[in-house]
Amino acid sequence: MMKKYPAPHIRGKMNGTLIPLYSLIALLPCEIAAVYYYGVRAIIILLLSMTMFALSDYLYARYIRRDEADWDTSSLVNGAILALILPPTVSIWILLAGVLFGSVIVRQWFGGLGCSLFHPALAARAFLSIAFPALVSTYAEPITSRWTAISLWNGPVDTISSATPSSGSGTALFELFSGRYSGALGETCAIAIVMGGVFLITSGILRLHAPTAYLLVITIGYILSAGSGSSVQGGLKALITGGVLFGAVFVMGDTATTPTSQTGRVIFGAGAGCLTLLIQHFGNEAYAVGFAILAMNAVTPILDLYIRPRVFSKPDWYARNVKKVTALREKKERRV
Amino acid sequence: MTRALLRFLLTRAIGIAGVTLVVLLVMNFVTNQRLEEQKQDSLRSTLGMVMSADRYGKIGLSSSRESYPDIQDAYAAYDKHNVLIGYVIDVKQISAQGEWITRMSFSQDGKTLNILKIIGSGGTDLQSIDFSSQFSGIAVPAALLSDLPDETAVNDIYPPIAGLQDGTYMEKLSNADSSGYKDFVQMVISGGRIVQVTWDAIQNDGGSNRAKASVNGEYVLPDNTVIWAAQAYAMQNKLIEVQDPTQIAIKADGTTEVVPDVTMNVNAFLRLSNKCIEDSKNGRTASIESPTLTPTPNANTHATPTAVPSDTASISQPSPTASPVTSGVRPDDSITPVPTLPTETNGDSHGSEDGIVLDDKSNTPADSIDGLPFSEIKTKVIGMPDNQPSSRLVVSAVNQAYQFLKNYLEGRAE
Repeated sequence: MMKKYPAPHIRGKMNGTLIPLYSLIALLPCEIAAVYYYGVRAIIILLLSMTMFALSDYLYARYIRRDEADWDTSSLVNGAILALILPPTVSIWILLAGVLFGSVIVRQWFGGLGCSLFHPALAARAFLSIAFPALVSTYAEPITSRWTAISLWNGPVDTISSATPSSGSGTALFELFSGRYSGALGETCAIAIVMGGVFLITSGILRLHAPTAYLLVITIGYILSAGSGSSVQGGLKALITGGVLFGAVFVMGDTATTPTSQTGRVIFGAGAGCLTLLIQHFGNEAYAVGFAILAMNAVTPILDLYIRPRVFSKPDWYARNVKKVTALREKKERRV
Repeated sequence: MTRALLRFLLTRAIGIAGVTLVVLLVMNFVTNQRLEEQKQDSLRSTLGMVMSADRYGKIGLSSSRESYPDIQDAYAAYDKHNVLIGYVIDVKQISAQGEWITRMSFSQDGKTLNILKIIGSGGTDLQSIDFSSQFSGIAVPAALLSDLPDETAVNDIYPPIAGLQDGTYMEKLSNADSSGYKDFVQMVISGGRIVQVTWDAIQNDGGSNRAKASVNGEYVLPDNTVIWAAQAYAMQNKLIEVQDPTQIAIKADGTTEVVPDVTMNVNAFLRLSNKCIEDSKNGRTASIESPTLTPTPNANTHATPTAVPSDTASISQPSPTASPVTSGVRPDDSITPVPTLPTETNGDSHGSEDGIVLDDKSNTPADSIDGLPFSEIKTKVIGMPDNQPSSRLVVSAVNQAYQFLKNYLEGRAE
């Protein structure tokens, strides 16, 4: 006996469970780099952030009896991203505050999986930078304190903090690629981010429109600001420091908070790039990327509204006859 | 999720993790090499001013931070064959003029300061060649000349007994001991001070004196330790140093621990010395009648212990004026320890169990600089005339570095 099902009738391999798992694998290089540079602290921060994010999502969904109150693998991705964009000196309490903010307020209050307006990890990081500016802007020297978990409980202390922002100034390009300079846990190692990015692209998960537009605008901005003093090395430095590359690869690939159309994603990336440059030059350089992407997250629904994706491969016909089609529909409905 | 898919994902995860690890290790190996080379270049340009080396290895300061809070950095310097050639130590100091770094290089044994440089705006005055060049190649520790007690102050620190009249005095025991020796002490007083003491004993039957007999092995002490002559010589020297027999404490059995290596009964010596002092006070000059006494020709120099003691000890007469120091650098100068001793004595015999009797009013010997006893000070330097406090700080930095290095080398030896 035949059964009727609504579209779509053709499904790809990827689904809501698998995509986050791929993302988790893509984040592995950054996580390994974080553990390599910051040792036991990185392990604790990463595990705690991921498990607490997943647990918080699950418990809240159960509490409000949401239908899809199931273990959501994307929570693990958000937890991992939040841990990787925090400094290694962050205390457990600050981390948990960020996890709760990102999970409950940014994610669950907006409808849970796929419904959040802002990227939960970025929003949580922004919340922490505003609420605890000093505690989340103290960085540690990599390698030196790898196996000491000291201050994990109470936050940064003099023994390990170097209070150096992750601008990478004065650091050679090779170190910038290897990530051996003070900065956020997983944002510094450019080579690890590139490896994760390549994995996402080859797996068909990362759509390149937004990241490409974003990196292009950042490069153009560097060339314009540096003028005759611009160089390849300077351009690369502008791209791989300050979380620019990390944001482009792991945040702009998020399907829930980026536009659905290609043009929308390009505008999203370009807008985020312009805002990043503006904030870097006139505002808080340390978290310019995060605030810029969050601002563009807010624009995403508007972009989706005005720039719709192509329908059944007939965009031109649809655009020309949208009034006719609407009138026909209304006529048909009235007749029925 | 199927098992195949899970296996597929796991394989990917392990693969990407492995590749990441390899890439990280390789990149960091290269980075380490590069950073080390950069660091060495930087160290060569900064530390090279005091010690040129091929490689500098940092010495950990965490364990000694409390003891040496001013020490900023310490490095061991190696040549191209990786052989230790010395140490470089930076000491940070602050004065009213500002702060500066005193950078010093030391020899491998930490006993010689090769070069000292003052770095920083706070120490501009101290950078004058006249001052800083005094530290080149000196033995450490060092002291400012003004830090040390004036040698003319010896009179105040070892005061002579009041009322002594110049002359030569001698007292002897009336009875011979069981070996047939009669002890005697001869004392020469000049300028109101005891400058020469002789302690010996004559043999009743006309044989050789006890000092000579002990040297010849004819007179042996019961405990068979240091010969009698050497012990008597040490006692004579001690009396000249402290100027008063009552300052040499004795035990109930007549022995003393004040003088090293002296194990015999010294009661006779102290008793006779006291009598000589009484004679001097009363002007009863001795008539030197003993044929066994030989006047000492070098009465104005320190007697040097030899295998055959002269039986006479003497001390240099302090000059009424300070000894002028023509040059600040005196690597080989040794400074006599000058402990603070009581200024008043009444001549009565009194003593505690062991040790020099200290006056109640000033029983704390103030005889150290930067925690180092005067006896350890190897070099005197002249401070900047118009900036003594800062000069003192520089010397203090030298001594702190010396002590740190000494502890470090001792710790390494263990």
